Amino acid sequence: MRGQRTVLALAFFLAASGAALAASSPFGIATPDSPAGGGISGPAAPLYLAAIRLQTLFYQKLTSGLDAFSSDRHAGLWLMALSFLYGIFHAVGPGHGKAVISSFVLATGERLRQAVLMSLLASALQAVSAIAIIFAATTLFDTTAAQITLLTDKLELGSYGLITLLGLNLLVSKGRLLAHRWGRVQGPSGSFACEEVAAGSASPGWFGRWGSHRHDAACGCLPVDRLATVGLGTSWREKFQAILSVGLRPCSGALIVLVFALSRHLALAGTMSVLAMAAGTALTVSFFAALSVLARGFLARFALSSAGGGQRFAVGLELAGACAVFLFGATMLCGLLVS
Amino acid sequence: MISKTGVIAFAAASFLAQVLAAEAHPHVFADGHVVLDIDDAKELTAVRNEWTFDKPFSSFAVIGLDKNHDGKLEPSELKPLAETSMKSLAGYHFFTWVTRNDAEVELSTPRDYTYRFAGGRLTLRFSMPLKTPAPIGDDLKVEVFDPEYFVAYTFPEQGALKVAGGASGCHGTYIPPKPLDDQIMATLAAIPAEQHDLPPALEDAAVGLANIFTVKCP
Repeated sequence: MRGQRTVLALAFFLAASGAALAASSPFGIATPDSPAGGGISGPAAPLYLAAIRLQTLFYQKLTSGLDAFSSDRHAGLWLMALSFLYGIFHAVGPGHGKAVISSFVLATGERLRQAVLMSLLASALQAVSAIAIIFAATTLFDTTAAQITLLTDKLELGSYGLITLLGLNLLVSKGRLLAHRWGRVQGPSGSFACEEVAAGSASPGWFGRWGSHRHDAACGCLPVDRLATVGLGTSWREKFQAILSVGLRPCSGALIVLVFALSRHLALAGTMSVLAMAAGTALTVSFFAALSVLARGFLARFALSSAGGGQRFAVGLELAGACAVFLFGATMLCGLLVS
Repeated sequence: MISKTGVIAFAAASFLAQVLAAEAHPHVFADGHVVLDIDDAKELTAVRNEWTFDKPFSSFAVIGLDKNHDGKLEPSELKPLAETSMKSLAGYHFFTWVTRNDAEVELSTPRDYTYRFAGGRLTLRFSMPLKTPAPIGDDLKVEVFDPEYFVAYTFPEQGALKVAGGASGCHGTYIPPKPLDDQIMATLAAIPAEQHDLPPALEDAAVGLANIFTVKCP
């Protein structure tokens, strides 16, 4: 049901964008990374600037490596190593789903492993998206760079649409959770989150589908004491929605590198390079997602030190994460539609 | 209680979002040349740009353009690309500014714009006549750069600038940009990417990136 709605919404966004979007790069070709406002300041700024410099350095090394590519094995390994490093620093820049995945895991309280897996899959999808677009464009159709840019612009729009939708979903579910819990005292220690939520609602409630059951490792419920630190997590359907929403948009670095490789008749080397790049991208996105998971745990310890704070804290944090996903999607969407 | 924890959580999330919202960085590298047309009245009449792009960007820009599949890109095949670029560059002030006593001198829309493809690199040439020719003097400055640093321009130390036209004995000077330091980068990055014309207050900050051309006539 929700899947259908998502597809419908996506179709709508793609159709709505049919009117030519003004290409947002100076030469009308090649997708720049999404223009997000907000300056860099604060303690992280020097690190960010260093990352920008490094990504430029590796980009130039990578492309000159492709330019002078020879068929010996070392050249291939060198190219992949450069691609991996480029991916790491390229992903520090805009896009690649850092903001969305980090906010998502904040909202849903995923465990570290889940967060890393989501980052991996999103990066892989971005690479596959780039490979699919470029191979289809160059072998199946006589597509021009301007047309590819238009297509990736639409994918970007679809991606932001999906992110907004995801944020809305999260907001609704977290908002209902908050409304339900507002003013309630923490359940007695030893009770489980699913009981807490389901109790007192006329409908079967949030986790009503499990009905009455024994609490064990498989039931999906959490002891209330642990709710703040780990959260309930979400179904894979929601995770896939998050992965799809950020993975849809191809990695801009991958597009250029792949086309350049193809122009030098290096389809295999180009593809391997893009995959190595995705591995590097995944590392960066995982880092930010892991930071979010750790931050949640860290903040939770503060909240737990005050009586009754744990659950409210968890819901507050989840709502904030949901807000962040929604606001990110909505802001980017508006930015694209207005420009 | 809830408000306090909620506020902490929201602050944490918005801080995260702020840190993650990021900026453009150089995506296109271009080697530039400038030709200044100066008439016999020693007035600047037009600025001509010549930008040769890096190979990866060039290879991306030309895909699907070899319509007759002869392995060559004729001017007619590159024409649509030139139209696209000119349309897009209009939103970026064509990365070219002429000022006199720090007041902007208006340029007409570009003409004679062409792309050439050679050695795997695209070269864009276009000419922008001044709406009103401006007398040459110490106060006349031509600047070519991308304040947002999406395009990184490089001009050769020697021969970056040529003077053409009827005037004789004029010679130009090229003042390269200052090496980027973190302060300038941070200030520039604070400008929203969708804002293409720099507000005067920020011009000082961006001036570090500018390639500046001046001319002296005897």
